[in-house]
Amino acid sequence: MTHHARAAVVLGVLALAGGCALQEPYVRDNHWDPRSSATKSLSGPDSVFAMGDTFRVTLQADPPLPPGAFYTWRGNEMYEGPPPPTLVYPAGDGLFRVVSSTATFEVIAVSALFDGVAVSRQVRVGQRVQSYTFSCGVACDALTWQAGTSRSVSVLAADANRVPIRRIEVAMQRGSWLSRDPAVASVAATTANPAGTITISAVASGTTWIVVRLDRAVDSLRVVVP
Amino acid sequence: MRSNRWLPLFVSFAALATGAPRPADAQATRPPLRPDSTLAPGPTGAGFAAWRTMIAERGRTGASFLIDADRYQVLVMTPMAIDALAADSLIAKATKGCQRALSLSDAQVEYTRAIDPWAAFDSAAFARPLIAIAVFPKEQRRFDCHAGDLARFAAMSRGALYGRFDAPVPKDQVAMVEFRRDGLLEFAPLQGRAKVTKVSQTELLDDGTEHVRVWVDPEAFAPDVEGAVPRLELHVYNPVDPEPDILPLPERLIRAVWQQMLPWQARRLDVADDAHTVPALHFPAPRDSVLRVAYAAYERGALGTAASEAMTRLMFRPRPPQADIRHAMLQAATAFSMRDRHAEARSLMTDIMEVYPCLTLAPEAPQELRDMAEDARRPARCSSIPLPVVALRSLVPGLGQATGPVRRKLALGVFAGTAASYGLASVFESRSRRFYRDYRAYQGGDSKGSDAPSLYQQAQSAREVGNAFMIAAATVWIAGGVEAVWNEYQHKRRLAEVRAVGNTPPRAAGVSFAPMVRLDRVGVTLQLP
Repeated sequence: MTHHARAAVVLGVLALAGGCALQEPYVRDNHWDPRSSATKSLSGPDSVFAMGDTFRVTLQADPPLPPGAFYTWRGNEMYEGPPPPTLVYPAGDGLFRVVSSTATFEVIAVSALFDGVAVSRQVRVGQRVQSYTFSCGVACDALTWQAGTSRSVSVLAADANRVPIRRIEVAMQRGSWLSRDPAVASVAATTANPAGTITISAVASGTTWIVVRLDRAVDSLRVVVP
Repeated sequence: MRSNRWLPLFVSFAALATGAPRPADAQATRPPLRPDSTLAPGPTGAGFAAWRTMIAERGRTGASFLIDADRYQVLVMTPMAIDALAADSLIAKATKGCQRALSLSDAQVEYTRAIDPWAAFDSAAFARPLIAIAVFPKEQRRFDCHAGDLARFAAMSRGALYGRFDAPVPKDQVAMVEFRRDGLLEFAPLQGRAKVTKVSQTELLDDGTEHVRVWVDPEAFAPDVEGAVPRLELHVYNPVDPEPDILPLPERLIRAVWQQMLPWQARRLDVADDAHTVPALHFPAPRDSVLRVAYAAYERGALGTAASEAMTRLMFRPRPPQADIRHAMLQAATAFSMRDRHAEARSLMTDIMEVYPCLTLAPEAPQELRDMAEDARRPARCSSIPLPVVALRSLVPGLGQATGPVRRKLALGVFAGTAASYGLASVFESRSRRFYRDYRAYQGGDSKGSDAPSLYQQAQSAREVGNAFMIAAATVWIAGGVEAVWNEYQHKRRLAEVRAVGNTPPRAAGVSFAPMVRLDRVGVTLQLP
């Protein structure tokens, strides 16, 4: 065997031996693979308290997503049966819109879907009372209160987007009301009700204020008992 | 070693029609149904009856040979084979085996036990060493239900065939058989014919079909002084055609028949010359107890007894150790050579050299024997390669095996096995990488039906298959290297065993123990000086 041939054989053997390696299992790092080791998360607001509000969530991925990656956003728009009282629709690119909500604060999951893989964030969605007015049938200042009589006063509440509060009784459960001078007028122990009414009783002559707090809205009603 | 292949030999070949003239008085010379007389032992058969009786008592040995031709079947039997097939139980076993397939009754099975049309002939030929050749019409639709070849051959030796049969056609019948050596008609001391019993569906049929046997002298099978196997033919005449079917006997069959008779031939060496002649070649004492007796006879110069005992032992199981067989055959070859029976010696040397092509005899060996060994020597690698070199060569798959033409296929097999496994491993690895690239590139929304998990699965599966092939390649490679080293080691050892054989000094007197296995006992022999 010549010197060159021997060298070729040795190189061939070394190449063969070098190639004779067992390969380790591949790394699973594709974001669309349910068993992937890649991580994803959504960041954004924890809660939204007005119907019609929009909010945006942001997707973080490690490794970073390639440009043009295909995934879809999902609120709770997919449902079976009657529509739920709280509805959050995706508006694209991480933007969501509260289409429907009530005074009940519900936890809604918004997601980004990578084929069968979902990354979600939970958001509290509901209507919080931002403002309200008393409704007394006539102008409340014009009401005459006779000692020993009671009157019902309605509360007309709205959220930050001036959308009337739905299921006001839930907001009433969270609320409080009191009389500055119970010797003049008192607020009856009122149960939460869908009409949003409270009952005020005139006790004795005098003037006092009835203070009502619903979520962050506080207002007073002047009662004058002749 | 060929002389130890006492196994049935099945040979098929086409009968050749030739223009050999038919004897004018063929019909008139049809073999008889009964023997005319009892054959005397003859000049070469003195003591043969007692010897074959002794062989038969020691156990069943001797193989018969069946040849399938176009129109005929030929069963060739040595006297030992005839004795081995003689038991009534064997034909009963064959029939019993076919009982269900042929819907036979128990009475019919039992009846076949009594079929023995050749009893008178066998008795007449008993005292003379003769080879019996039976020619049958070919079985058309044979049933292989005979509970083994031995039972089938035993049944055939009595003229019983099993299966479905068409109406006999004269052209396919056997009227007469001639036995020719190198074209010349050989005298058959005995010949006869007998009916064929056709064991068919629900019946034992006798439709007039006959088969013919001729008994010929074993010398007809002897090779010439150059060791060449003679050309033996059977000329089979049917009742209507003037031309015979010519059935040449295969060379292997001729050699096997001849070798079966060698123990008897050896027996006659001492009769020819009673003077003991101590041979110049000496071999190690065998471990086998019977061969030890032969060895002792050899060492004291009783060459015929030694050769006969040794070769008779080789006819029976269990087989002695390989070295014992080799030395026993060399002793027999030496014995024949020293008695100027060069044809037999050459035949044995040919068999020995076929297995041990690198065997060399000690300088003390007779020149004739050495010449025979050289003549029979076939090309072989009779040198060894240092084991470290073989190990280094094995780094190239198959190169460790490429030590000679005999192992070329194995070398190519190792090389091809390693290369193919490695190639497949590479193909699958490449395929797996392609899948993995697709997996990494997958960004969802694929409309081809593939998704990330399935792409990963395909990539990983292909990688695992590739790994399996890589393991296979490494296994073949390493196993090839180990085999090459081991084979070379064995080759070296075998070469040492067969180098200058025959120069072992006669064993000094002393007490020795040796394991003993015989047909009827197992134990240890104690040999005293």
